[in-house]
Amino acid sequence: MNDVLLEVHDLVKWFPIKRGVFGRVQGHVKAVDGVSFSLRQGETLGLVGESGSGKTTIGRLVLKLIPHTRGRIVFEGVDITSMNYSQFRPMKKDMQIIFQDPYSSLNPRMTVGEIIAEPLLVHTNMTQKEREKRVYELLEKVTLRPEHARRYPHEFSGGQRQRIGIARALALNPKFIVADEPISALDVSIQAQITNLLIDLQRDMNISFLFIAHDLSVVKHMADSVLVLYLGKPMEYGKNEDVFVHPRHPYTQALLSAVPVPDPDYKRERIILQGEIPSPIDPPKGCVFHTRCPYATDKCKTEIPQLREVATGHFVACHYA
Amino acid sequence: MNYLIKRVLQLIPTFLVATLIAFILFSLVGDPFEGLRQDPRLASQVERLRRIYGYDKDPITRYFLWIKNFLQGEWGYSIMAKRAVFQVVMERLPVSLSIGIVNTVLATLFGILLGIYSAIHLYSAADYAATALVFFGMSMPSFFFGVMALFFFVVTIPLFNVGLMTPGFHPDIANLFDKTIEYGRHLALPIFILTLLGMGGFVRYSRSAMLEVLHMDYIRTARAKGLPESVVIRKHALRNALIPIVTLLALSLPAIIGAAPITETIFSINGLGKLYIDALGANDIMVLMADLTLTISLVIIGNLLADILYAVVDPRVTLE
Repeated sequence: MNDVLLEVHDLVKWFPIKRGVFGRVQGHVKAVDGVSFSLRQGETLGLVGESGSGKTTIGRLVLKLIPHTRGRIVFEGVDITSMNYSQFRPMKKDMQIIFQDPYSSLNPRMTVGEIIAEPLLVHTNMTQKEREKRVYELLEKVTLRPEHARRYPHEFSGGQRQRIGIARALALNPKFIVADEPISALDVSIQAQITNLLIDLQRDMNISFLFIAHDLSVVKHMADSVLVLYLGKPMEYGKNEDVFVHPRHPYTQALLSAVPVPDPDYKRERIILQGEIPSPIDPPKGCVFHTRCPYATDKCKTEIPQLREVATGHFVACHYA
Repeated sequence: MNYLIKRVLQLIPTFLVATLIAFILFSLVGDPFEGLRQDPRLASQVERLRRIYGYDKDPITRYFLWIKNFLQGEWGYSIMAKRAVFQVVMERLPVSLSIGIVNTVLATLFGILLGIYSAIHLYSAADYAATALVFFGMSMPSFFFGVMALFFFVVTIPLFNVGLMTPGFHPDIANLFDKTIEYGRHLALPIFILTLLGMGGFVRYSRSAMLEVLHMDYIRTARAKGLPESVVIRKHALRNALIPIVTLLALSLPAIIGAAPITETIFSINGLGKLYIDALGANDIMVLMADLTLTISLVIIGNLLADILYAVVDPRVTLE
């Protein structure tokens, strides 16, 4: 149970900015800048942060959907960063993704059955009959009905479409799934259904999730460990209790104080962050968070804080944590 | 099914209004038979022809007389050819059809392929070259290429022939193979030029359709499934990109009977296009009307076809 499935070392992704007629590179968007984490089998790592913090980019990098700039990704002891697309392709059997937008991520010209069966077609030698059977199984697993296989995606609601996306991701019995904000496009009652479905599937199939979200309460509900990102850099990384009960980084504290609590009488101190998230093209010097941190000192403006282990398995990138 | 019946019934008023407008415009030109009075052999026939085709009555009555006759295959009398219009048009039709069909097939095929190649290799040297070529082809008039081709490949190097694709063309050549070669030498250049000109729209259209589709989330889904890139392109991207292209294809239906009067004239090909130009000069109204009516019919049918095909290729669209 405690085998490490996925290890990411110092992952970096810079998107070049090209301008002018000749497409000269004028700078980089530092979308992901030195992120490391590891994920054990059957566990969930929550990736949280504001929009533009690089969460989605990490999810895509791990599956090699976009090329990385630097760093190492090791899956089941195999370094996948040096592989090319055709070498890596067979590994997609074990590594799948659930996308954020259930409306545009399903091919409108294929039936649900075709969408779900396609991974089986390329990665296995199943016969038509076997594939059909498997599709029905999968649809049942995500609480859809077998006859749905003959319909097209546009005939389904958002929550049902997301279930189709999940069934597709499950088709090959993957060990690892990137869930890229799988519930943020859905309404609240459906969010709960999908979250519970994911938890059930994880328990039944021993899947590891990289769960990307900006809804902290869902991450708290699902994740075994949590990585907080800001401008592509890790701010705090630790087990669920460490981060949610004893947050050490001012950014994490601010995020947690913004989570709505379903109790009107509850009084709490909100930490209101000033200003906007700075541009990842030209991130602040020193600690990237110092422009918005209520406790920032001169040291924060010049010196980059390293990710330190403040307690066993609990890492924080702050000079004063 | 109800929708289809309704849609087909709607074609009738469209057809009537379009032909009525054309008919009235041609009526403004004046009496087509007036010129025949010059010819002493035909002068006695003029009154009879005027009566047959309703030129002794008002234009509206004449229109209904014309449409009644037209639907019965009685398309009028050609002043140029001194024969029935129907005969003249049917003689010319195979020539225009052979150019038009080959040209449309080639233009769509190469246009779509080049557009897709451009989209997949976006901003590569090949993409820029294709774009430049297409814009050059689209912006130059057909007579430029026509005259250049005539000069280089007929006059300077006599590779190809021009002219006179009349009925009974080369009756001396009995061998089918030789006949094909001879036809080819007459038709190759105009077909090539029309393909070059007609391709442009398809290249631009399929390139942008393909680019749009390649940015869709479901393409990323297909890659995440671990499909080989060729399958991602063919099965997921291309099939979706073809939806708008199919419409364009149906709308280009009129091109198959030769929307190429200038090219046909330059190469002296006796097709419908040249017939139209000649008829314009001779004030041969009934030929003009017949030619125009054929084009109108194909435009209308093309539109209907586009609607139907759209529902066939896109499961999200139903004919309601």
